[in-house]
Amino acid sequence: MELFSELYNCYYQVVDHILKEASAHPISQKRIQAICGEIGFAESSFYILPKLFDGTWHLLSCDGTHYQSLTGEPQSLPLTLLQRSWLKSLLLEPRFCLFFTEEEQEALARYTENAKVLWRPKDFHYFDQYADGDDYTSPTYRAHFQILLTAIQKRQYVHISYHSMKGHRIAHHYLPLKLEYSAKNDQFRLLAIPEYSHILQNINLKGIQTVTLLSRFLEEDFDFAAMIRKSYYHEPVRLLIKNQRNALERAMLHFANYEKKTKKIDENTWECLIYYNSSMETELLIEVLSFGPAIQVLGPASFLNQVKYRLSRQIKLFANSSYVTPS
Amino acid sequence: MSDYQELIKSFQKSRNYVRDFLIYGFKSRDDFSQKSGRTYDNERRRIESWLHEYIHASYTPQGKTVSLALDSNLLHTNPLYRVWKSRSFTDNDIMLHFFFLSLFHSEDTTYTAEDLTNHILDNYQVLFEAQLVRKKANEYVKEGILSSHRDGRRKLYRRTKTLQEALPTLFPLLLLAVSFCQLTMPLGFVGSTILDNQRVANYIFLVKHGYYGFTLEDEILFSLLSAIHTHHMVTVLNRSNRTSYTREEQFTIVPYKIFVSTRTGRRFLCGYLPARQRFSTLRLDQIQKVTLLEPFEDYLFFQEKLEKNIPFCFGVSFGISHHMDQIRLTLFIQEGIEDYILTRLRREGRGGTITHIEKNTYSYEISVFDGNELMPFIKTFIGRILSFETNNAFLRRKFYQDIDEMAKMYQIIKE
Repeated sequence: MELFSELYNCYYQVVDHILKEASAHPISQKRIQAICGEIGFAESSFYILPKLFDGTWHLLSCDGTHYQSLTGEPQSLPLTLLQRSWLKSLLLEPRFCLFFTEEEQEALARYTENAKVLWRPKDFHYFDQYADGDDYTSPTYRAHFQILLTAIQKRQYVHISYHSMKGHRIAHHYLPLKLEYSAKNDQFRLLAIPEYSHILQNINLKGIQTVTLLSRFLEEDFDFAAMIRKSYYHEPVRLLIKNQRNALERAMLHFANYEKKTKKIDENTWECLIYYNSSMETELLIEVLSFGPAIQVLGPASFLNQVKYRLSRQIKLFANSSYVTPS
Repeated sequence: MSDYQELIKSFQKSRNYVRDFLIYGFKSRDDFSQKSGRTYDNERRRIESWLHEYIHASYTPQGKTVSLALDSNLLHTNPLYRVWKSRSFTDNDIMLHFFFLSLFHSEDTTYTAEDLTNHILDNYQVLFEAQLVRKKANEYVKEGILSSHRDGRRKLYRRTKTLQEALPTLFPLLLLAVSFCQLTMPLGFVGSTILDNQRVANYIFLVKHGYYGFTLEDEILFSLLSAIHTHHMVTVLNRSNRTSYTREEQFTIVPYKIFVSTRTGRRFLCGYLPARQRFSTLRLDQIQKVTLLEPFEDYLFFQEKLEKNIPFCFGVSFGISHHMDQIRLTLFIQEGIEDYILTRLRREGRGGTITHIEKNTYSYEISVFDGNELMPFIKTFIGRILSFETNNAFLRRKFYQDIDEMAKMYQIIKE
């Protein structure tokens, strides 16, 4: 079993898509080029097209202007041993099992019985994962998860009643859009918009009391990426990173999950811009503070003021506290 | 540029370049001093081609800089999986692949290598040597795509069942589960290839706190997991890239676990070093090569020892001395108003003891191998720390110095 194998190559995918389309009806060079652009790497068409057109890869026939598949529609490839082994390993993971009934899990186990497990949950130790993750074995949780999965696929509205993080009980009609998983929190959140609103909300699955499907569906198109981008503050957080205690590499890894831009100011200093929205603000603030003096916040003013507020509060606490015995 | 190809033979060479681009995306041509400018140009061009949708280029006085702009809030797959899909192949490889897919249209169809060779010539007018066809068919048997059996002296090949044939009713749901798992589970790249095969893409699941660079170490992880399961020792070639120097070392280690940080995506091999008679951790992104050695006789004995030690690791360090660092943090938390801070302490405190001392005052105590690993966590409570106490004088000094330095940096107190 090899991870780095030509069987998973992007060019095979490109040719697969071309043959599929060219088996249904003859297609033009322009269309073949477009498929290359959609599925392949940026420069793949320079390598793939000449080989297809000059017959080095004898997979297409040409009637002068259009091309047809010589092999018919390629059927999907059977799973490789590596892929079956991966599925077998998943059967040991409670989050994978969320999707299936016990009978379905048994069917999967039979399908993968000749494969070997690639990993077991006990092989990993997630040392900084939160201790209060979701209970994936709870029947209620599993039922909620499956209803939401159906609703997202069908673009169907649901009625949700849940406890917010502040402990308020909220009930509303929502259009569920995405399910978001955080390894750090070990929990799922539903990203949804309330009916008659366009403001995205996060609802922890753990907090959901009831969820029921409604008989209404979203008809029009919906641009989720635009909604997320629109939620970002206009001004990114501007950080000055001093490369002490390997802070640069630590910061680049730590903030790798944010959209960011970094540039070198001088030999030992870098400026990093991080794009964020209100739902990320407190978490980002805490993360920045955890770097201590290795990272300095330059702006925006609202973010900088929060850092200054926490620090001045800290200095006052030290000044007034009977607990402090500074060195 | 005649030597430039978009596809590659070996993953290892490109791995370090991609990682550097991901982390230090802002490096310019001059910063990559280890190899020739030509190598840098080729690697950069390749990475730009593989990941073109995510590349951000800018021009600075130091030259053109290229970085990866990945917003985990919007990604339905790990863009770096594309790097795994760049293995080079021959013209014969790709033709035989699609000829096989076409000829083995049903799972009941069987062919000998000679039959296959003849059918390829008849149907597609391409002449291959039977030996080459047999070699490819045997490769596909090894990969699990074909199976083979003997009929007298003839070796017959047959296609294995597709996912849809094997699990027709479960198939749609399975693809949904794979859509999720390719983003979140170990070796998720494999899951993304299942979606590729079925020509589907994830559109439902996202990850918060998605750290995508980890996939670059998956080949190393793959070898280590295999050694863990068979209780073998391994030799690892480790290259540490500090900002100022690069050092290569070789370790013989008994692998036990993979430690993972969910906050940085960084992964570590945790194992026992027989030569030093202690447990240690090595960053997976710094391991260049893994060589399998013989089985380790005392594997289970040290496994038990490790399980007893893990609760005293706050992160990945087993400390450098035999004494434990005792940490005590006293916090101001307004009862009834700021209970979420207590929730944070319980949730993130990794087993530390929380005690209510008096009204609005709580302490958090923990005993660990290496108190230094707590420092970032402790600084997240800036604004409510009443005291920080420890038996490690260095840490205590460092903590108060850091707060002092930050206060000066933000002009809360004067220099």
